[in-house]
Amino acid sequence: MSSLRNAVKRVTHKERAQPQSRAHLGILEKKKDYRGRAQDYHRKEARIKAIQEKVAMRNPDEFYFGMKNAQVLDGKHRKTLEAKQKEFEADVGLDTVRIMKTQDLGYVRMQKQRDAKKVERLQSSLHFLADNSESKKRKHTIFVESRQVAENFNVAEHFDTLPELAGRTFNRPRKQTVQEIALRASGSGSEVGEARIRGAGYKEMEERKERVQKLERAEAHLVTEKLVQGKGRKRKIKAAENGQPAQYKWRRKRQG
Amino acid sequence: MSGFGGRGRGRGGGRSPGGRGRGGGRGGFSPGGRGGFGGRDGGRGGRGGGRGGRGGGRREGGMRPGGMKGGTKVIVEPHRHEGVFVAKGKEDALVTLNSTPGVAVYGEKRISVEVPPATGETVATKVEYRVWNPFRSKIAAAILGGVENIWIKPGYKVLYIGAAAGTSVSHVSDIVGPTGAVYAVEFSHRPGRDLLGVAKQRTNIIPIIEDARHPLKYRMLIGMVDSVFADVAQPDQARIVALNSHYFLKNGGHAVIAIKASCIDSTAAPEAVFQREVEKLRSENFKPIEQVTLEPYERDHAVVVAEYRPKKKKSKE
Repeated sequence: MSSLRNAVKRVTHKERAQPQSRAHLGILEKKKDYRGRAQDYHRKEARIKAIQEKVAMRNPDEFYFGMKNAQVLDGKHRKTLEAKQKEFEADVGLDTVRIMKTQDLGYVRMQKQRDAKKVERLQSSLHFLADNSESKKRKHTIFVESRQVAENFNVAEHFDTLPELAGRTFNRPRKQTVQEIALRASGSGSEVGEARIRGAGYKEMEERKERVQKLERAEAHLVTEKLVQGKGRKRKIKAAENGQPAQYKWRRKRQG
Repeated sequence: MSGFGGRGRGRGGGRSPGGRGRGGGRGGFSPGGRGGFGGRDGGRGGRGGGRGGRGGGRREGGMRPGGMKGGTKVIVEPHRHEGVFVAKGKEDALVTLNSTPGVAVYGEKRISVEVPPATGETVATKVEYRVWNPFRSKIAAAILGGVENIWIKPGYKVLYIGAAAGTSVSHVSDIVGPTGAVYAVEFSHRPGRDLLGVAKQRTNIIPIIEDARHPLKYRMLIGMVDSVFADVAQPDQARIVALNSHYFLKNGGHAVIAIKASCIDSTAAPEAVFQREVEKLRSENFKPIEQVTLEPYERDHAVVVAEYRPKKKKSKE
């Protein structure tokens, strides 16, 4: 019975709230809150003190791996990529790493082959008819009877073509042919459009060629890595440079 | 196209050839926007002309009949050398007239072009050209290099030494036409098998699987020829050419020789090698006419054209 009476009598406890005038300070802090805040403060204080002590007691001649494995990047202390990679490899295990690297190599090779094939296909119908840097190396020698003929040599006359077509190596139609079929007047709408499409084709070919080169290089790196991880005693004979992987020499050993 | 927005049926192959054609349009948006996919390569169905996103393929959607391969406008102009043409359109290529329309010999691209009807006829005819890849053929490379005369013409009889699988030979056969002939000599059996396949389809090719160092072995197969082409990449190349020329080449005929400098002497400078070869030819009664290096297509290669036992008339006059 008494418990019931007590329950009825009990006044609801009301917590003091932050007065309206101090509302801008946030909710009113209670003892519980103060304790939490203070404890946190002291914990941090102790931490800072411990670190300061550590710094004060540090031996400047001592080596720490942190010096090697970490760096300050954009003002932030970070592990280096290599250290991260090593950590990851230790995490997933050696066998898994080996499999992943083989897969990488396979993927790079596949992409390279794909691009090479595309280049070949494009090349089969884009023949660099207009001059490019490579074709400037071309040399055309014409053997003549005497020095005199050589001195009076006229290209357009020799090739029996119009003087303005004499420099167009890919096709120097004979005068007769030119007369029979008037060559297309350049600059017509359709031709400009076709030239643009052609240009895009040449550009794509160039880009793909570049990519093949890059992938070849990536492949070389991966292959070296794989071999270095394999068996046999070896030593580095040349460091990696110009994007080429390092060179190693293996000690000769009779197999089996 | 229903208003799905986005790209509608970009990759679908099943568009009707008529109708909106390749113009496509872009789903539910303004019809004149961009040409949509396709338009690059007509009638291919499958992939609708590949990557629409990269430019190049755009064209305002006009109505064009779904054509053969190369349905885009291709203009074929005759080349300096008879039987050779230059195709300009999406491609930028050297071509020959295909003597077996509908058949590609080594997977090369074919371009068919409609020829406007001649006077007195009503139906436009179609002719087919085959792309001649200068990266694979030294004759093609020499032609694009601007050689004055290749001495391969309609009606010519040509001795082709070092025919390999017959890829270039097929183009030579296109040029010489039904009245000419190509005697294709190849020593090695494996490419020789492919050569036989090519010769089955083209009656003007006479395949000979023999060593070109012993022309006696196949002398009964060949009559007099108008020119000799050699692409053998052997150190004694000049001797092989001379030997065959003595047997088969007519006086005043021509030899066209592709020289790979590294195959003759890999230590000497290519220029010096070419010069030495020319000297060797001179000593074998050839008169060199011209020499072209095959630069954008091959490295350290040259094609030398020489006349065999030239007639002495000119010097007397």
